[in-house]
Amino acid sequence: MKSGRSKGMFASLKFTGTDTDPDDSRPEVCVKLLPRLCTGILLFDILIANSDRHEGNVAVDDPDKPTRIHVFDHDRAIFGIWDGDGRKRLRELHDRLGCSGGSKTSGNTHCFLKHLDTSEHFIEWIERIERIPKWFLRDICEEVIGCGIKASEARAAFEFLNLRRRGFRDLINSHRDKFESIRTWVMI
Amino acid sequence: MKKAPQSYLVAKYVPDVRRMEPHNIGVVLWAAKRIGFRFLPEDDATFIDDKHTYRRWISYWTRLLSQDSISIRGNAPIPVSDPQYLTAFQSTQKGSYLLYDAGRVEDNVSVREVSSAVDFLFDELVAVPHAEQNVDQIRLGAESRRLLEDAGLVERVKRNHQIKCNVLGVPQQLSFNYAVDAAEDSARALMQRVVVSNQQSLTSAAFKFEWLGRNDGKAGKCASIVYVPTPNDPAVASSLKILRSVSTVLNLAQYDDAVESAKRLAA
Repeated sequence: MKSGRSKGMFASLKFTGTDTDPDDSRPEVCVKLLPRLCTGILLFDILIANSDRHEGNVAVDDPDKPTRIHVFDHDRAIFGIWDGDGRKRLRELHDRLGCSGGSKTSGNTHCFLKHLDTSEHFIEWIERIERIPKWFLRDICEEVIGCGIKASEARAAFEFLNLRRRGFRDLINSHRDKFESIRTWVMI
Repeated sequence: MKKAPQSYLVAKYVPDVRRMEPHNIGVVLWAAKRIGFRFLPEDDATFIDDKHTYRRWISYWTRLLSQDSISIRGNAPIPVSDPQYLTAFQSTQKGSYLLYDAGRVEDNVSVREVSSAVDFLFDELVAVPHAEQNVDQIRLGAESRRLLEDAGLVERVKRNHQIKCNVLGVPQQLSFNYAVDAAEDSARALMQRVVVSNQQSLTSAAFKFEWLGRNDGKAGKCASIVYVPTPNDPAVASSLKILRSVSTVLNLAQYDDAVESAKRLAA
């Protein structure tokens, strides 16, 4: 979250040891070769309402035959980018995927959303998300109080994530149309 | 700010961004609502230590520039014909691989001349012409382009096309100067410029064509483009014999015959 008043700060971190790789990940290839992992990334981004998962925020070891995917840049998740509008965003997105680039979400459409063509791995990831402990969500939300996040905002973030976790299955089911390449849905 | 018509970018590699001592590695020209580009082949980029990453960048940029439109980071696609295309492409630069707004081409460039203009910029800004061998290569390059124009193939040719090929059980990407009607891992015809007096140029081409042939030969018809005024000279006859055993030889010294052969290959 960008805030001129916070005491926190952002810094860029170079996390590659050699020359920087290009943003050459190909989402259509990723979902074809690594559908389970891509499903997990997509559902995690839905959980945190991350509206900025474009191909530039996905790094792969080999664009033609990826075996590993790294995701980064989550600064538009949860509260979005506008100072003071965080809680408003959470209210608006409580029943939305938060990553489709829609009218309320804005941002970038998730790079895997239109390419993922199987729901085979949804059950596994949904169950994982549903089983995230309530205390864990509360702890991580309270941990950032004072780092640019007020107590009331942390509470709102916890309530958002906790409700989303519990209703995650329904959230996905009510937005099946957004997964435009999935023709057949397994029972979730 | 909108790019002026006929703008071009110079791709640069900066080994250490703190020292900012760039090497030019390619040119990208937007003219006549088309895009033309040319990058330094990996083998010529002797200043690059991390060849794997270099290959990824060139492959990435080539893939983007070969499409009808460009979409960066989820933004709406910008067609090649849009003057904003070059600005969108420029935003792909990162780390040591940079794209500099290098200026404009003042002469009016027609669709047919885009390729030649790119070659001119490349030779001026990227190629290293101080070695005699490179002078031969540059001359051969210019004459090859004339050959492709006179054979009516310019619009059908893709440069530096890569073909996957199994070499001694190891998958390799073999790069060819020109591919007529290029498709993924194939083309109607693959052409390689060969400086016959240069052993490395000769053996490299022979190696590529030989292994394409061993990989069932379906990648495309093969041709070597050479300039040999005295083909019967014993000093070069053996070299031509090698090339003829694996490819059709287009000798620019026998220009009309070379043009006709090029047309037949592409038919």
